[in-house]
Amino acid sequence: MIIGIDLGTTNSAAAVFRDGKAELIPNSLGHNLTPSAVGIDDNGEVLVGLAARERQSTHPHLTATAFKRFMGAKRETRPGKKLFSPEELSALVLASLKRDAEAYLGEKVTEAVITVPAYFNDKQRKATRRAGELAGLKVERLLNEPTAAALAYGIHLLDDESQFLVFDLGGGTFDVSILEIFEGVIEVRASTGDARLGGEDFNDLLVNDMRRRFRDDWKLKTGEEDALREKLRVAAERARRALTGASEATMDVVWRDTPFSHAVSTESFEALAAPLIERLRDPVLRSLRDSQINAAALKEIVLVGGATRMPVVRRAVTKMFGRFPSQAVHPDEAVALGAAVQAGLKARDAALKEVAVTDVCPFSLGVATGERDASGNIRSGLFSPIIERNTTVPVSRIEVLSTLQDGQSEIEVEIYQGESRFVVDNVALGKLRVPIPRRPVGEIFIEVRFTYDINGLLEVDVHVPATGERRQLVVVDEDGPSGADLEKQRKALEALKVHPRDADANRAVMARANRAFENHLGDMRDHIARLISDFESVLDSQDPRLVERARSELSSHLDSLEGETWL
Amino acid sequence: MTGSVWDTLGIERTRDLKEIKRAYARRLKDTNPEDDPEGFKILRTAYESALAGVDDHGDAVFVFPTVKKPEKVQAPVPVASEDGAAEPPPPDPRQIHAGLQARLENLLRKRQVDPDVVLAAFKDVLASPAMDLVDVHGATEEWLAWLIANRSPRSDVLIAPARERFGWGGRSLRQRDHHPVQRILARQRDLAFLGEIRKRGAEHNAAYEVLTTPPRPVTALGRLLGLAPTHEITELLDVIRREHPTLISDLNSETVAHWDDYHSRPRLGTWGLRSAAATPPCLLGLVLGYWLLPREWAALSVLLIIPPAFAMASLISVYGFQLPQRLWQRAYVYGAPAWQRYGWGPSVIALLVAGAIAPASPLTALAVGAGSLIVASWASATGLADRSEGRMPWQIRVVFSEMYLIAWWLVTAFNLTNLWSFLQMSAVMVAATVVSAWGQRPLFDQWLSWPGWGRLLYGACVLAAVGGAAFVLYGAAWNPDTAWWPGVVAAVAAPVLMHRPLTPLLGQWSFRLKWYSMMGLFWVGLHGGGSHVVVAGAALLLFWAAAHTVIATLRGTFSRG
Repeated sequence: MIIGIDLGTTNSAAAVFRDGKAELIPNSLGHNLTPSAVGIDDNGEVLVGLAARERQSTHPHLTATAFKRFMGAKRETRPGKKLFSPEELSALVLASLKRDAEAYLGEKVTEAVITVPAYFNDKQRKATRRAGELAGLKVERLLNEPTAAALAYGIHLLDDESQFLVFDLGGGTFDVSILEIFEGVIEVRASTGDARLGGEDFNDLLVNDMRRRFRDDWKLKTGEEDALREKLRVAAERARRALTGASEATMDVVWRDTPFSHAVSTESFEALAAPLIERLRDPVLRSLRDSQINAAALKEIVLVGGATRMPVVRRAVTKMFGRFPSQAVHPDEAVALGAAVQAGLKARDAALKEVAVTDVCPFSLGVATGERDASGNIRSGLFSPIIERNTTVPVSRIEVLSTLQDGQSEIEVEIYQGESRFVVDNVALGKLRVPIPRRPVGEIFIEVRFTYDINGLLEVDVHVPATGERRQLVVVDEDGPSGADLEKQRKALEALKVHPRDADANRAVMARANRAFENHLGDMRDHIARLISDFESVLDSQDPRLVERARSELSSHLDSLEGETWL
Repeated sequence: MTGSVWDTLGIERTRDLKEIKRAYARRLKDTNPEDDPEGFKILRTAYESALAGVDDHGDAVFVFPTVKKPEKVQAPVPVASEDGAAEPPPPDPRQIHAGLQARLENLLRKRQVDPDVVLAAFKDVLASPAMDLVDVHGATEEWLAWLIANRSPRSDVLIAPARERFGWGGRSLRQRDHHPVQRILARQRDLAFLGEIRKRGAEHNAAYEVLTTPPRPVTALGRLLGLAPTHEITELLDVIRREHPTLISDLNSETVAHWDDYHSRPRLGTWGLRSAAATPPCLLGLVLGYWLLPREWAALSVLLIIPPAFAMASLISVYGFQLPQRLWQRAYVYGAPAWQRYGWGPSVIALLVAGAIAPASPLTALAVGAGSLIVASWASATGLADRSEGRMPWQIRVVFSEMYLIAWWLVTAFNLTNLWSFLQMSAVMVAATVVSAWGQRPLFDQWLSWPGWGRLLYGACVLAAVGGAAFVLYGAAWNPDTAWWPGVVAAVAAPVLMHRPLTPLLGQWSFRLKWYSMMGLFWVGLHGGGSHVVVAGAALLLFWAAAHTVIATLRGTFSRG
């Protein structure tokens, strides 16, 4: 069975294609979304999902979130005693989704389609693939998130002929895709984005605003930075969500038993967010240009991603296109559903026999070159693209390069990805040296062939016609572990003690109650303490029915205290 | 392997977009990118080339607004809702925007216009509410780039604010291929340079002043006194043409033409002219000093020979080298027979031999001297100077790069007692120096195009020629002890002469080879008596060079096969 997984910055979800349609897989708490959070509890056991996320503000050093933003980078986080790389943390989330799916479907799940932001580069894609393998999943496909969202939306419009734009502002990334549907073909015409723009950035605005306001009152000691930031972040998230419905919200934080309150109005938030809103336009313009589609010809503007719930973002989109965006898809669930559709395609589901999907390579891939300027000096470090961005994949392209100096004895082919004319601004993917016979400048040339496959894997071939020599390079992540290491890493992850699935719900509620305890003062705090001790005594009884009832009571008490829980 | 575009798509040749798309969709169902990537690549290529032939894509992205037809910027989708007939409909922001654009465009069309007015009109365009619409924003950016690039210099004031607004940094790939933006960025660089040279007393300012005023002919007296900054003018014109081409229109075109004509002919430089003017009084002073000064002071008057010598060198440089070079380049560079282009190479070797064989006499010395001058100017005119070595004057470059030849000549010359034989050798050595400084590049190119055996033969000929010359040189004092000297000289001198052609085979080693051989050359020159170490070393070098040549030649032969 192949499942589709949306591995998000803040939340993840899994879905499956069966009986001719995609459906979401609920987790052990009955939720469709599982927060992308990993924590270590007091017994050294690993917690994944809501329980971990609720503990974040009370145990910031034992919890890791938003690690997707560092995917592919050599940055390790330390929840508890052990060091984890971003892909290991992602693997833990994936493994949890896999367990949920197995419980829900009643069969073994070994393969998955995992989504990645369209703007993820080669390294980040490889890291995601490794995360899947670490979780014991064979990654059948890496699918671009906006393509997935478009699949979820477009699968119902197959008989139509239309062009539409998917505007995907998630927790950490921003993607824009333009799609065209004709004759049962779903064709991505262009995909662009900003890999560092998302809901978290809007939270940061509020966090920084509040920190500035009470600059002198925090009295921070060294090492408390993270704890305060986490507390503020939770408050900011809450306020930002409140602003969706109301014109004012407050950020309430208890720090060292002192209450702090900061009011945020729609206007002040909008003013703060203006620079971020400004950054939304450029990718939209770029995707229109690349797809050669006029904004007026677009049938719909489809909003995807939790951050598009913000009125400020919706207003910006309305202004950009002069009309209201579509709300036809669920912003949090569309990507997972689309991944499931892709899984169905992959499994050749009968309901999808007449559908074909093509995607694009969202960035330019090329080599470093040099040129002689007017005064004869060599300017090196220029980037010549071989596969231009937004070319339909899979694709092969050949470029002919020649020598720059007399008697050059080898050519070094450096491979880069990016949109700048200078390689220093782009991402280096690897290099390849080929020996060539010494000749005067320009007399020797080589053919460089780039092959980009449907999963975003790049293969580079170099051919020297003068000697018949051929060299090949599959761009592999040099920092990544080899097969044997990967297996070892997988074993190590498997050996971690993961909190038993059936107790997840209790852990989540307890974590939430603890956070509420810290966030309130006086009578309220005593009240919460009483609720917690009551619940703990019921837990000791170990009667599932009693526990279940007590848990829902505690939940509703907490709901009345601080509003509903959110994902 | 595959048929035509239309065979791949499975339809007849057509320009109907719908039909092409339908065919592509049909073929895509069984040539899926998942299962048959290679087949898909072929299908996709066919599809894209079929689309390229379609007349109307129907979705052109950005439409340039024109003043005559402002309605062209309107998109078909109306923004305002239909309020009914009671109230007048609210003005369409797109319409207002098009009006503002037209105003700016009209302003820039005028011959004279106040920059502040232009700037205000520009700000109005950017501030119009329609700029929030993403298609208007994109179209306006394109239009502004085109407008600013085409309305220079009146649009110069808009460059900085437009760059700031649209982030035209020139670093993104799209902007590399976007010609209006590239032209605007170039214009901005040029304007910054213009601001620099307009400052009084700044570098190039004097030349700039001359070039912006009407032309005034330069008199010989003016040049003698250095009144016209002729050299600076050349330099400035050069810089502008190479790096700031848009500024040419800011100069006085007649003056530019005048100076181009002036510089196109080879002339004595200011100092050449001055030293020529100083030659008669200097010569007079030399004669008078010889007659009138006391004996111990007379030697000092020899210093007066410097200006005439400099004038002589300048005259030879202008009329012996620059003028023939120019005539040659104007007449025919390509198409000339090979002996004309490369004949100076064998000629200098012949002269070397002749200079050594001929008995020393005033007549032969003069003849060899004249021959050397001809060969040297031949090489300088037909051989292209290697320009990659910077802007150092050729005189200095020759002195430094061919120092070893000069040194060897001096060492050898001091061993020659006869004045005429000294002059004879000097002339040949000067010619050899010029040949090696100027002429190696084309020889080197020629040499590379030869087959392996040709290159070997050439190497053997150089060895034989140099060895022969040395044999004759030492032949005068023939005795059994010095019989092997010619071989030593040949072995050491040949790599020096050959190092350039060997570069592609030996890389960095060819330069090392040259240096080692030069050391050997000095050794030979200093220790005319000889030592077995030198012989052994030279033999080794010779063997080594020959072996490398053979190996490289063989490798070249095999790889070509």
